[in-house]
Amino acid sequence: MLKVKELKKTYPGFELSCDLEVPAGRITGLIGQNGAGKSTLFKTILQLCYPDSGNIELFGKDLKEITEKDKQDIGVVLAESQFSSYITIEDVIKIMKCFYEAFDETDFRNKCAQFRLDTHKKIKELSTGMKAKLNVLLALSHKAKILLLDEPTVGLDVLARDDILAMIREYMAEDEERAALISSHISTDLETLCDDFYMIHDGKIILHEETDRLLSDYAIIKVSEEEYEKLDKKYLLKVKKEAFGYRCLSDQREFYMNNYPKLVIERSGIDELIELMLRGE
Amino acid sequence: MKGLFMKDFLILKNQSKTLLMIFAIGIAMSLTFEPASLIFYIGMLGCLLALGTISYDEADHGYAFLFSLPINRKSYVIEKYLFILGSTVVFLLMSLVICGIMTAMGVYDKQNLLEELPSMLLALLLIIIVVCDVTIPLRLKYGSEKSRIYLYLLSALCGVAGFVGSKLFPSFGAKFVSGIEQTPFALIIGIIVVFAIVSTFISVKICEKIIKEKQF
Repeated sequence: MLKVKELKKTYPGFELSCDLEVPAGRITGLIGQNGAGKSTLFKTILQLCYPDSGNIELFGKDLKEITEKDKQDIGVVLAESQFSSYITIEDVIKIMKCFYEAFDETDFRNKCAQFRLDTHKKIKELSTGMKAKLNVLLALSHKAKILLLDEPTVGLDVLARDDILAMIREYMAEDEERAALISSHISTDLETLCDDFYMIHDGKIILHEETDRLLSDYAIIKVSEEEYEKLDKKYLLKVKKEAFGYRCLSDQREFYMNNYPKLVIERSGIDELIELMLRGE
Repeated sequence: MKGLFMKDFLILKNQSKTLLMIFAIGIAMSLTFEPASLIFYIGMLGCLLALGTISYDEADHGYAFLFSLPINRKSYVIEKYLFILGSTVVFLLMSLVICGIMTAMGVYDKQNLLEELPSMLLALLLIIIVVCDVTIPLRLKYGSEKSRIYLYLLSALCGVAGFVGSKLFPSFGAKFVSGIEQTPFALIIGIIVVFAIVSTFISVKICEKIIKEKQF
């Protein structure tokens, strides 16, 4: 559905350089710290900024060949950018009906009622959580084949985040051919939602992994200095010095479980993985 | 493009208090001022209000979201010109309605109004075209804040050029006015229409280039 090949985009002091693929039927996560290049990647895919080199294919077409009709099949949430805050949700409904042939007004109104969004309120009068819900509802309102959601849960409390993730999950379950690329710097959001994820740091993809494999095969091994000396290091991805000795990241949990049964070996969550990938050596 | 028109129309509609104030002041003006002032006032304010929709698009990084919608950059530029010029025409028509009512009430002299109206509208059209063709590219290129500064500088530059011109060629103004008076009205209309088309075409092309190169 979406292929990004050898993409390069340079700003003063920053270079985005990445390859990425989002097949049909998959939810792909993009994890990275603030300023890692997530939004730049989304904007480049949406042609809001132009790449220096590389190639992006969407719906099997080069990005330059994407028409207004093709864009009807893209559901978008952008961090910090939305409809003018001076119009009401009722106005937004009228605008969406003009822009999207497949806009489902009845369903959208039902969802607004479900999430207690007062359609007569101006967008600027909505709370941060309500705005985020509105943005996601809009992206899901016109039967888009691909969702490009940049930080859809930013600034939200746990309950609001759960609501939004549930909405996305439900939308994806309606049609198995739909695809989604979702970014967040809150990794737990993506852990339960995504089939695979890319980790981006300083504009570069430093890891691509299936979420299932991450949760089953990746491990954090905590060892003293003495134990570390005796440890087989061939499957260690990163190692970080700690007060007690070393914390190691491996993608071969079974190997260490079988060969070092006395060591402390824990399953790795995405947060710990990110931390070790970025700070480990 | 339909969605863009709808968006701009709704932004304008949401300024209903401002619109009502414009018409209230317009009606009050019509009691003491000549029709020319009334038509100029309502026409220009209509044009400026419609131009203001660019600021709404720009606010809060709005362009990024706007261009992620199913539109292309070229159609945005074309819609903006059509919307601003179209809104100005609607406002002008409303000012004419007020003039008609005032004439029916005997406030304005019908004969004078009919004699003055064509040249008045033509002059206003010329001013509005110049304002739009200069302001829209500046707004798109530099944003609302910076473009305002450039517009002040441009106005000051025009003022200085006018002053220097009048000192260097003191009789030019009188000759220009008498030249216009001697030119057939149909020819003047033709010149203004051709100027408006050429100027707007150039301005649209400049805007298309500006918006095509913009990154959000």
